[in-house]
Amino acid sequence: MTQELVLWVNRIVLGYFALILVSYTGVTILSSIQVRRYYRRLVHARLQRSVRSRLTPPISICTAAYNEAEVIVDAMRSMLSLRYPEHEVVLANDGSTDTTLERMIDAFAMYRVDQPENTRLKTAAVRGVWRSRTHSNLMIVDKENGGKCDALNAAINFARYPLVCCVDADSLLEPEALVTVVRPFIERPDRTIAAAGIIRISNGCEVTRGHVTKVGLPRQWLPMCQTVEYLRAFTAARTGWSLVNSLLIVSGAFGIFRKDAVIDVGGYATDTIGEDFELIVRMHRRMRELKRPYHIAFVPDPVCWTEAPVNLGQLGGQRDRWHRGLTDTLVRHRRMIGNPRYGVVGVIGLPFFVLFEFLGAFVEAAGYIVLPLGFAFGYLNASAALLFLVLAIGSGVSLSLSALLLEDMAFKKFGRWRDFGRLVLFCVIENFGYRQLMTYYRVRGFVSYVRGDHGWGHIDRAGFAPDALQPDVGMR
Amino acid sequence: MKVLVADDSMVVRRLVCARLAADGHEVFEAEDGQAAVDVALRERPDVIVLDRQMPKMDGFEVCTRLRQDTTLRSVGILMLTDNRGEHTLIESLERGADEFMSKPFSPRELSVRVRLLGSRQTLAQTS
Amino acid sequence: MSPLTIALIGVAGLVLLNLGTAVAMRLLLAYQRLRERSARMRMRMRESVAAFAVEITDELPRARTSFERRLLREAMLETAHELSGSAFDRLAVSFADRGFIAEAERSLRSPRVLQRIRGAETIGELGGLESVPALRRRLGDRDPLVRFACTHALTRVGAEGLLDEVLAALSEGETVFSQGALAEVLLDSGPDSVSELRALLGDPRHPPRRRLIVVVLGELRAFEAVPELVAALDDPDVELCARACHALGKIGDPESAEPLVAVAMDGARPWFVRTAAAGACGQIGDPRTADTLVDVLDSEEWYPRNAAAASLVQLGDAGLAAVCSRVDSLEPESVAHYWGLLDAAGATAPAIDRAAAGERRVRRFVTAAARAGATARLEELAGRDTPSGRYAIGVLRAAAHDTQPARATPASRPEAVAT
Repeated sequence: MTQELVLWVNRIVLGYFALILVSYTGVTILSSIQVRRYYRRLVHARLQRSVRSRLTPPISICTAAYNEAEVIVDAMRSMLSLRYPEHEVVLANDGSTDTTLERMIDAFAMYRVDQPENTRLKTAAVRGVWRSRTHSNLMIVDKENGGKCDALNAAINFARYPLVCCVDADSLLEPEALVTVVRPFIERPDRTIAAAGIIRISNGCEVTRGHVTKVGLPRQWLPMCQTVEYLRAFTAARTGWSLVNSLLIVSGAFGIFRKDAVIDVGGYATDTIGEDFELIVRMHRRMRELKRPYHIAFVPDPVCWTEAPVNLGQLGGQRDRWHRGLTDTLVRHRRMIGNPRYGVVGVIGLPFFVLFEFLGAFVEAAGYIVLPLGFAFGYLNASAALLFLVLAIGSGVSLSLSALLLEDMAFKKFGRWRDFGRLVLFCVIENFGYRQLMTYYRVRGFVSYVRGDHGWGHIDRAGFAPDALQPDVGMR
Repeated sequence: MKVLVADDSMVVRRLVCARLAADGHEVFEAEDGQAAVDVALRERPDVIVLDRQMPKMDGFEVCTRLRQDTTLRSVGILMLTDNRGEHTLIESLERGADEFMSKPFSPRELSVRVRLLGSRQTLAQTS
Repeated sequence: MSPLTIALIGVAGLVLLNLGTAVAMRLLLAYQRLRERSARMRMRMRESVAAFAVEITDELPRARTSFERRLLREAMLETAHELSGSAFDRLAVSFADRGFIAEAERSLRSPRVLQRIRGAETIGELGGLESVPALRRRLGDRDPLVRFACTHALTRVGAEGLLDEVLAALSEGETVFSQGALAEVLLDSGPDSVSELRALLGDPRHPPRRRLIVVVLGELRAFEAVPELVAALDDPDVELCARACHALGKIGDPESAEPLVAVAMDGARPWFVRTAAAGACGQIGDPRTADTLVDVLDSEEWYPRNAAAASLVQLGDAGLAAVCSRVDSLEPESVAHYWGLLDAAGATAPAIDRAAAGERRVRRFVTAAARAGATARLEELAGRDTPSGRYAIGVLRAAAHDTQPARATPASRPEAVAT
């Protein structure tokens, strides 16, 4: 009886890994087509032209901060100095209890104004609006604490321009970030409702005053593993999804949206921790329900850097939260899964997600637990166990390497052989321990969700923890 | 005459520096806003050619900072910027720029403007 | 073969394939870089080109090997991008003399797409009318990117009378680049093409194209196109109407103020059209529109109200006078909205000064705004020992006693906003 069970688990797990390998390789191939196309267009798109063009649409950068006194002035300064013809920065101060607001007022000579608010998105009360005497395009919305999504909604309410770029206050943007990611809106203004860029890990990079001045790899193993994960999750996968207009994640750290599209779906949902993932799924849903042609683009150019958690506690909390958010969003929008009414998103995108992101964690966990035990108790023979190992680790390594290859072909950010070597090494190492740990956190996230823990946990007191990726990291 | 050229684009810096050096001025370079302010305070140029969009501190802020300094208050500032927009022009003048040129620019025109700006400053100082 | 062996081979194969390709590409790149010693040479080349462009030297550096020629070409393109006037012409002439234009025209016939694109771009950057025939031949290329590059190059070198061909080349098939490409091409075609654009505006066949043309006419500040744009205000395509409003605002012809104001007041029009019309009035700056704008200001919908308020601010004293004369009949929300935008423009302090000095109408306005909740500026002045400061204190006190509830409109204020 137990033998039967173990064998079945064995078959399922092996089948799962084989399926992963095949389908993710497929997605990577799709991505490589898209990246190549993008690269070609890049050759002649001449970003400088966009900077000078009168047709480049103005953007409102919406960002939220809670107790970020140390870094906020530099961060805002770097956002103000982005290379873009016309943009403004709207900072929502989410009821910070430290000197965040005071420091901003000092540094930018700010004064209170009576600005009218467009209250189409419900938010916690706004206490005041501040403008700067030195920078006419800087504005602070001071409000009661309500969480990051609430703060972003408040910022969107005050945003002046038709495009909004939602960024974490502590993300570092490259000077050409806006010009690069706004291109889909210029090329297809009638259809594009959102565009995302790639996030990179800034641990190990030299950062001066809010700008990455020198790219480098992190020294510690934990951020290194995350670097590899990000490569896989971004370049290799999202590009492919965007090709079939099924891009599900516009990551929290950096994305440009059409303001009216966001307001139309009601802005960020404040009662979920799914945040951006939930917003995007909702946008897909609404556009498909209205049967309007639309496009959510992904720009494979790396333009945004964020700091990755360096200790297991923070990392665990982050992944836990993401998986809770993922589960919550899937539950909320469960009617979309497998539903042809929702086109590619419903029929392929979401089921893919459910299968590999969501259920995947459990299948893997089962594999890691049951199979070694099965082998130990003699229910499985050596070759079956080895097969599992080979597939599990091999698929991980292979996919990471293809992501690395793709990245290297297109963007060549990691120039030195030493860095390349380290990345290759970690593509392998990541599968021995790190990946298993992530699986554990994901399962734990689900369990906490089921147990009714829908909140942010104790982490929200500490402000917005580094939150670059949404739940699809941890992909095979 | 001493001229400071602040622009993050190397091509532009080279063009402007070459032209101004050939005119006989002593030229200093700065790659970003912060460096521009530092060099300006140190070398006390007569004219500054300033780009609007630079990392670390943009041209407008540099303008404001320099105008706050007592010794540099009367330095001639020429804004050389990508954006032809009207509001950029207006804001530059409000911040204290004396001249405004947009890119793409003509080096001959730049040379003349810098020279005139410089001579105006020396006239103002001696009177 | 056992499944294990299959799996091993498969996985190992994939891994080696990936790794091998990555390593090979890196080696290739490194070899190229080494061979080129590019950094130093590139620097020197750029410096020489810069010196030539600003007339310090009269000769371009020599370029014998194909690699040197490539560096020279790139340096010249880069430098020309930043230049205009005599320096640009100088570079353009030498560029052609050195055979780079001929080379670019040859690349247009290359079997590789990237080469063709680069050739077109090069011609667009530094070429002249002599290359128009070569570019025209490429308008029928099967790759949309090449077509775009050629159309762009054609407009940049100043080819006239070709707008129709250009537009046809871009509209072929459902290409991703149509909108953006079209817009950039039209914009670059410059003021000379305005008459062609006006004619094309009359062609009802391509609605997206018409909308773009309207936008471009606005950007080009095409005064001659005002009659067509005013006619477009009555077009059944509402998106076109809205864009025509924006364009008229940019052009700023006072003759268009009247039709715009009529559209702004026309309740039958969609909100975004009315918003655009109200916004354009402000840009045109005709003080006679102020009165009607105050009517729009009193609207329940946020966007038209916002546009009207912004325009009234732009109208300066005329706007202020119009609002003040009707302040008693306006909703507090509208008053606060106008005050808010006035404040952002920094014009509320002078208004408070005027009120303190005794102007009755302005006083009523300041009081009404304070009652509606707009107190930041007053609070700032209240601390000072000036007539305005004392006046401000008085107003604030009166406003505190007299609380007037804001109008509860479902359209713009959702119920659950905390006070």
